Amino acid sequence: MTVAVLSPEQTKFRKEVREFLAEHLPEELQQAQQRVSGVYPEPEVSLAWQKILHEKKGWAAPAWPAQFGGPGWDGVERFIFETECALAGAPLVYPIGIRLVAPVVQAFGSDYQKTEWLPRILDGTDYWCQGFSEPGAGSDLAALSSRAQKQGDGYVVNGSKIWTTHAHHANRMIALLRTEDTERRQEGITAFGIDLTAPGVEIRPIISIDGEHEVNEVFFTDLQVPLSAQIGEEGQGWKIAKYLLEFERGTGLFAGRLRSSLKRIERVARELGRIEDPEILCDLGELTAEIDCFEMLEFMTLSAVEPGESPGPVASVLKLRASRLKQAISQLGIKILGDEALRFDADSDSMTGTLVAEALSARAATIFGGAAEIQLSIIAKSLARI
Amino acid sequence: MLTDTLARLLADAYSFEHRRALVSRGAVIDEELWSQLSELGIFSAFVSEEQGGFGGTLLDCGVVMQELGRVLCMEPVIALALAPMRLLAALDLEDMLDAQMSGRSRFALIDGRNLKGDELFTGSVRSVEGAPGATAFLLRTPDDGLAVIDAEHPRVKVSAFRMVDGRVAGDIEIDVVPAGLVASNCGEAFDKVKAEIAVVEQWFELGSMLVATESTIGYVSERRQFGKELAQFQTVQTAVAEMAVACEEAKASTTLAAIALDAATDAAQMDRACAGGQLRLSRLCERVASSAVQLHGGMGVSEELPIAAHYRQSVAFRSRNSTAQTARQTMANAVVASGLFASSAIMGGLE
Repeated sequence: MTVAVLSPEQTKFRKEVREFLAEHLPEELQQAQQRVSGVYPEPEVSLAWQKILHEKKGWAAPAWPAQFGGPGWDGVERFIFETECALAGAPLVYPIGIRLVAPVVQAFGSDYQKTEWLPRILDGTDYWCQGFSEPGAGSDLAALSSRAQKQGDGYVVNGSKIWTTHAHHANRMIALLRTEDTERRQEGITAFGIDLTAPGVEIRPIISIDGEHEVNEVFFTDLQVPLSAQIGEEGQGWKIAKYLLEFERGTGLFAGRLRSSLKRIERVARELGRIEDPEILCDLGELTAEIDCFEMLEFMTLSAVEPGESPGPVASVLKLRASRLKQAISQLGIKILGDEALRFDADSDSMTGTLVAEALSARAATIFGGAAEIQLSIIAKSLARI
Repeated sequence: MLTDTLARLLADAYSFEHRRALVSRGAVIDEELWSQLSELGIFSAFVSEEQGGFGGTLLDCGVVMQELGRVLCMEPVIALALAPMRLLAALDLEDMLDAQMSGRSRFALIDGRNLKGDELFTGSVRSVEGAPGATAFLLRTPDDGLAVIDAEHPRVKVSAFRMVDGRVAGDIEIDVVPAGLVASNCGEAFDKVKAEIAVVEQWFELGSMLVATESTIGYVSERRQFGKELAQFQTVQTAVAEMAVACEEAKASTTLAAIALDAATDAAQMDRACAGGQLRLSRLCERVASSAVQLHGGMGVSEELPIAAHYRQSVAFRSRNSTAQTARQTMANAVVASGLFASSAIMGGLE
């Protein structure tokens, strides 16, 4: 079988990744990833895999430039790596620290933050969460009102964040806080790296549509934050958030993950004998065509991006398509299950619970990280220029 | 380079008014444009250098076809140039290839597997694109041979008609007509060319989609209702953004189809490249073409602007070669049932 688009060096690299996975990906982590229905695996799964990648190969942070301890891969190498990992069923490495916070620190952070924070993200010592949304500021992020008040050598923080994924596992948060009341609301926002173990932080669980605890509400009461925790300049928070969101939306390399979700429902369809239904088989065929096309879209985007760079507004196209595809695949999962889907909670050994939970939790995919409506507004302005 | 020159030529020589004039005078081929395209080297660009061409890949070919799609070119470039050249080149039929490349012959491919006979053929073949402009037909015989039929033969009857997208085609009636067998065991070559043509048509449609989207953006930015531009309305913005998303996807889809078909080494891979692209583009073009009409309002359903013609092009695309439903079945049987779906579309397997 020929390789369509890879150079001989890239093919060699691909072999190296495959060999590494064959040797070092433990079966129990593979099985644990198969059971993931929410956004991210639990830390005991993702951190265990991150540790293996970091210690054996220095591959835990595919998008980091070499100067910060990353492999310095270009877009195509990252694409190869992520695709092979996903198709081998490797756990998803928890992305908030490595994929989202780190590029921000690398681009906007102080020397202190680069030397203190980045190594602890890389080896898994610190587990970050993302504190953007607030009860009064969801899609309209600039309406946020949690406040950091200058006091002495630092700030005092009061307010709350909501929908904070994995805050209950995290010891650090990248938070957008209001430092000034400006006429243009965006200009009074500053970014911070907050220590969640400090006094003045309370984390309350929110139970999601699938019955799982993934997201939280986080309350700050007179939390002391040192000046060294401020990321970038005061008032630069909006710019930093936009930068981070481009990474969140565009560099996930979702195609391999989507394909492995499709493999998962196809396997269930075979086990249940539902693959004999021509409509189910055609639906799987149609989703294959969609994923193939999306894979190329991601590849074309990524191959034009340098290490540490964000893909720009086309990230919104990737985010929109990836989130809709995730929903379409998991919906087909429900269709495949038929009335088995009713046994959501009953069969702990079958995949039924996982697939139903996935279909429920996938509803959030077009809501978090900027709702589909927000992505379409960005696309209208940036790509269509209206 | 070739693409830029072609784009300039088409901008000068193939305006929408010119296209309309061709239809109203019932032209089969715009001979002037045809010879300009030939001079430009469009016809021989995708034949290997050893065979007298420039050795362009399917991707190169697609990029050229996209330009023709942008102006909704009705000329039978695919049917009477590209398809026969790819077939004759694949079968290494040098003399006929030379005749085709020099313009002495214009062959049209016909699938005659339903015809009766072996040296004298009888029967009918419907909807052969470009047939009224062909000098001869390259017939796929019932046992997968390649035979040549003279289009001027008195017992060959071509009933010409214009297709929904403006291209010319014909229904062919053959009544005990001699056909010279020039090659046998051509089944694979015919199938490959058929797949290539399908992918090239996807690129043609992409060109149309991009222009329909650009025109729509232009229209909603200028047209005022309720005291403001249509582009100020959020429902309009959303619809335009969805068109832009579909165009980005369509670019990826056509690129993938061309690269993957060129690299394909077995029937399942060919099916994945070709049917996958056909299915995806069918969905995307339907969305883009119907939104383009909708956002143009009354102008979108009139002949005042090319938008209606872009819509008709999308109808033709979704009917020609294969429908979305057929492509779905191909994906199901050749790609899902075989397990091929589980591997990356662009990297293939390793061995």
